[in-house]
Amino acid sequence: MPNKEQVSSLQIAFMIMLFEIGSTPLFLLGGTAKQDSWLAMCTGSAAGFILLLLLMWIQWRSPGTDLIGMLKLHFGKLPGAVIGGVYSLYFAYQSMRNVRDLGELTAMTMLPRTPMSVTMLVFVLLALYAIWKGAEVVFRLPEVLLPVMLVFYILLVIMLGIMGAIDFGRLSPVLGGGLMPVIEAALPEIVSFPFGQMIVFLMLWSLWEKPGLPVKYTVNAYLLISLFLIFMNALNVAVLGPAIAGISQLPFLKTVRTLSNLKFVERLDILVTAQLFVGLLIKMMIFYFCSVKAMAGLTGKPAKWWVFPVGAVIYGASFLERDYTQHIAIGLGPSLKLDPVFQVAIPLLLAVSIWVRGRFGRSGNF
Amino acid sequence: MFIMKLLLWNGGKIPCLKGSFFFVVNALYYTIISARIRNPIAGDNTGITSRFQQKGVSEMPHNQKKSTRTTKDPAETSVPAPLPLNLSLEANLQEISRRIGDSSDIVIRKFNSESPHSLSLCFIYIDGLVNADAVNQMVLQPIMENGALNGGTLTTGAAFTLIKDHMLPVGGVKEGATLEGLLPLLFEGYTLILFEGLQTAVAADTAGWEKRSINEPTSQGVIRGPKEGFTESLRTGTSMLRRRLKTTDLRIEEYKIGQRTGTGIALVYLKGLASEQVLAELRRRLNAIDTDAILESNYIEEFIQDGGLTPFPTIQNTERPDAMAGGILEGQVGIIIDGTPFALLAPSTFFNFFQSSEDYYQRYDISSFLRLIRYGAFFVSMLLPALYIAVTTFHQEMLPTTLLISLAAQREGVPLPAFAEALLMELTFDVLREAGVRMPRTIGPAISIVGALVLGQAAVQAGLVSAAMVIVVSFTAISNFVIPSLAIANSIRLIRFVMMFIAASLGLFGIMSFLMVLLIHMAGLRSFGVPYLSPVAPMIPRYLKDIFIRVPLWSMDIRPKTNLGKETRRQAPHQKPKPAESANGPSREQQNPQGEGPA
Repeated sequence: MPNKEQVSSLQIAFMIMLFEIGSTPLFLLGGTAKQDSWLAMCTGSAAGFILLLLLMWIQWRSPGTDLIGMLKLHFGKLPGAVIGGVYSLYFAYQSMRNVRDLGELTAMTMLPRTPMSVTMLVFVLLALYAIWKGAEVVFRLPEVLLPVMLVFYILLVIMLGIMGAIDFGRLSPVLGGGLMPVIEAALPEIVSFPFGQMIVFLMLWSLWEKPGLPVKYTVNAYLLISLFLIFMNALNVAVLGPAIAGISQLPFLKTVRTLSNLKFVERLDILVTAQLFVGLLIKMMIFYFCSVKAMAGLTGKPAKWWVFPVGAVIYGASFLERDYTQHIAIGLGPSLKLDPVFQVAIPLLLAVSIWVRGRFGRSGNF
Repeated sequence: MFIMKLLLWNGGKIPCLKGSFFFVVNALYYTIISARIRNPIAGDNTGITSRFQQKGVSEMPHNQKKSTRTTKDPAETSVPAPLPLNLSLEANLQEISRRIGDSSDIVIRKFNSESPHSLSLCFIYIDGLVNADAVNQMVLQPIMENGALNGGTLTTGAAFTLIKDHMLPVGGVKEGATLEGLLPLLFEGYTLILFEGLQTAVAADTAGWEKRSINEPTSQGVIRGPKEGFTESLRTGTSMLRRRLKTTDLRIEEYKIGQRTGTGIALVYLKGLASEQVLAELRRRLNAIDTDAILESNYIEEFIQDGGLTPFPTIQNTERPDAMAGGILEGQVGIIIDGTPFALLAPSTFFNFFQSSEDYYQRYDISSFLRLIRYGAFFVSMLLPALYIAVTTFHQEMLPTTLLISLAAQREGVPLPAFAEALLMELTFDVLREAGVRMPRTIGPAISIVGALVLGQAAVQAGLVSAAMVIVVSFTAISNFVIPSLAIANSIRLIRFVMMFIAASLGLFGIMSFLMVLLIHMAGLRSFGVPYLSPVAPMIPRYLKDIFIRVPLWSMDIRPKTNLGKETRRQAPHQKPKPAESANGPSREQQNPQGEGPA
């Protein structure tokens, strides 16, 4: 039996894909760019890729260390610990956002009369159970879930195709408003969600069974999933048209509802909700896991010691926002402003520190 | 049990360090004693004994716990210390009858030579365990009719040698000096020959009792494939495997487990294919079993399987020697238990339970199709009633309007909520099913009439349940029988009820959540170190050829098995049948630049 919890390259690749899917196809990202939202996604993904290269470089220079270790090493013990603690909170916050997303979504589509506190509790407990079982188990889940999810997505796309609902003509004119709306929509919104969230893998790459990180698998997974997300984005617009897709709260749900003409299953909302359930669960689980791992790394206690407290914090925090409107408002306002600090600024600082240390020949320290 | 695990996980270091020297020595002593008790023929079968003792000593910390328990067990304390045979035959016979009582099936036959230089012998065997012809013709007759013995010209020692080495035309002849060594042989069908004035006795293998003949397996039928199943006899089982695996690599290790039943257990595996780690773990767990009775393979299964608190089986059982041979060829270890036709295969992953040996006896396309059907049936059997409850209770909007109206019309007169209705019908079916197993064959038709007509049709007509619910329950029940392994089919019978309850309280959200719980649980489960969901999670893509579908046999070059890092070739590559090549055509080697031609 393995002594240390280890994760294979394929598992990391699957996790990246499932993590990036998350709840992304639910929303029309870059909706302000109208029919060019898919171009905004491309731009965001490209910018995210540059960020990913930065993150990979950091991990490559610090093999076997996770973000907390790097912070402590480069910013000093106390400041590093403080920043690590803030990161842990940040992860917990992101996790809580997903919990709330799911709570709202379930109340909206599946269980309108069940109190959100119950569904969210079930959700947190699920993640808690997996994290309690350890990283190996967490990383095995995408291997089962991702293929199932992709099959369902493909099914939906095929059905939409058969119904003749897809009209890519709705995507024209390409770049009708010039380049600026696209870039404005992409930066920083799409970069920070979902592509910039790859920052969590600074906590996870160190679990790889070999030192360093699986560069090829990571890059391939990222590119594949970017293509998928861009396609789904374009699909939403191609089915609904830029106007409806732009204003609707959950455009993908609306897209799928056009399928009710099939006369076979009236509303496939459930299928979509199941997809999002899985996507959100994995995303939330990873943030939760990173938060736990960060706390464990900071305090030197075993991860299991932190599973329950962090879970309780996440669950409690998910009640802080009054309603969905506020949830969205915070997500698109203060949250979006904070993200670049964690996703770009601190990693950049880290990279500079690594570079400087490497330059002055102190790389032997780590 | 928890403490035992803890001790083992500590690698044995900590208990030794903490315990005093006396404790360690004490434990060592008890270890050997208990190993002897578990292996009653210790004195004769040196190979097994030494393995037991070595294992016992090396697994000391584990046995510390066990031996303390052993000494407290009243059954244990009644087992006397090994007693050498007495010189006097009469004393020995008295001791034997004191030990085993005057049971009516024990036959004691005395023999005295005619001459005054008397040679006095005594034959003991158990009627029913021995082949009476063998005893008469191969043991009694040659000895009693021998002139030298009868004439009394020999000393007792010379008579002993003559009998042991020359006069017994049977394969297994053993020699024993203690009752502890001899009595277990008696129970295995040996005939004991005791001598007046000697402290050694001879035991001749005359075993032969009534056995069930080899029949078609009743629980795992096939259309195409071998029709013979294991029987209750351990030796028949091992011989069936020997006949299928004619290789020098086949190993059969025998154990005796159960202080009162002394049940024979055989580990069967192919050396070089079965993982040494799994074997070591299996031996360790088998040696750790300390119980007085093993009556069926489930006794062993429950003692050695991982994760005591899981609804999923982590060890397969099979009645089919061909299925077992297949498993052994994939690197699994077979465990045959005397007294039951159900043998075990370990380690087993989740997907093993969906593979039937018939998959390989039919064309690959139909086998793949059937296998997919089985996975579908698995989910139907687990989820269908729960989905029905969830949809009718929470998500009516999912259904097409016409279906919804017809369902609503059916349910109009039904007094119960969907959950209670489903629970009632599911329990009814389980009662029927249990009745079907227990009832005498002759009243079978009566039960089916009651089941089909009264509980089905009449219940619907009386307005107790809706017709849709009867359909759901029937389909669920039928789906359950599609799964080839009864073990996993049974586990989802229970899961189904939990699923229904959750569906009734949280709808589809609850079903998804519980599915996720099951997935997380299975992802963490192991069978002898092999992840339960492998090769899907952790995923090994090239091993997926025989999981959801079955590819043609000629393309299964690599043994698709996660036996802990061992990967061996099953056959020569590139054996796909092709038309014979013409002289001008491209040669096979050119098509396959790797140069690995067919064997």
